[in-house]
Amino acid sequence: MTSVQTEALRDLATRLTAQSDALSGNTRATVAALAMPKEAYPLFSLAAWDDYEKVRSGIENVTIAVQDILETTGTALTRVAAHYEQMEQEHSESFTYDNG
Amino acid sequence: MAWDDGGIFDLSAESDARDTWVWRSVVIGTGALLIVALEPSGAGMAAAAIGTAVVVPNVVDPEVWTSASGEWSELFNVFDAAVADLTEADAAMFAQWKDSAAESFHGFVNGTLLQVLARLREACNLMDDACTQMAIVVISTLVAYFSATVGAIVAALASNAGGPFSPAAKWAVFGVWAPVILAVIAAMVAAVATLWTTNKTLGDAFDALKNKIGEKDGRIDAASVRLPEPVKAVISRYDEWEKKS
Repeated sequence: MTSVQTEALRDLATRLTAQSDALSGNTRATVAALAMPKEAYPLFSLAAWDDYEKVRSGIENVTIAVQDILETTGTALTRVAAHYEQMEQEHSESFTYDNG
Repeated sequence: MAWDDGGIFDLSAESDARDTWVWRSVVIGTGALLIVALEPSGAGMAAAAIGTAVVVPNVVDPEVWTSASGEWSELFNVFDAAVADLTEADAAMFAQWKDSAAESFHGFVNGTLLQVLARLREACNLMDDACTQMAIVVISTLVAYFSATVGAIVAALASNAGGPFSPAAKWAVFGVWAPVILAVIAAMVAAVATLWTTNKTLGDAFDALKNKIGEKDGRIDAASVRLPEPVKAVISRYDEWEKKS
């Protein structure tokens, strides 16, 4: 049996990893594909190309940064949850580190 | 391209650019009818010059923008779902855990991660709006062009029926058509400029990211979005996680 605490931690770790996977796959590809070719702009309004691209590339780069954070934290929390699952099995469901 | 299914004109993978050329062909064809209707006065050649220099280069495929709007809307949903999902999971965790790991992770999620995701969501929403408005501008420009040009063709043909060929009557038709067309293109340029700058749909999208994330050399500074080392270190330590009883 696993404690409710460890289940909550495992659930958070799983969701962090799942969101990281979603961002690294479809989402990132979609944001990249939304780069508009210059032909999409009326010639006399071509200045707008850079304005749009500034925002789009910002969204793309921030998405990559967020994905990296989700992956790192997902992995870290998965290790902690796995450790607690093992400790609870070896000791008891109430196992914890008491730091006072 | 994901944002263009191309319809009946989808002849290749680069159909987005091809569709622009389909629209331009239709505009050129309509312009040719006007030229024929205005000649042999010389006014037809003047109309051709305006068509080539001013109208055709500004004709683009509106579907590119309507598709892009749909894609941005889906991205909005992705980030919206991520915010909801992680808010819930983090709250459930924090209800059960204490000590420095739980506290610093919870603080980071609420102070940074969820806020950055919310900014991404907001930026996608504004990009959706901007693309919708761009499609409207492109479509209304096409409509205004066709309406003025068909009107001019009808007027030029009517002047033939009215009696002997009159260059003055043809030039009069051109004199009505040309300023309207130039005004249509000028209005389009102004509308796009307003959309991306003054009216601030795009400017707001940029600010939505910039205000939380930071800016460097006029670009969004994504490098500032990172997991702080102390948080990374403490959440990896088993003994810094303590259950709430």
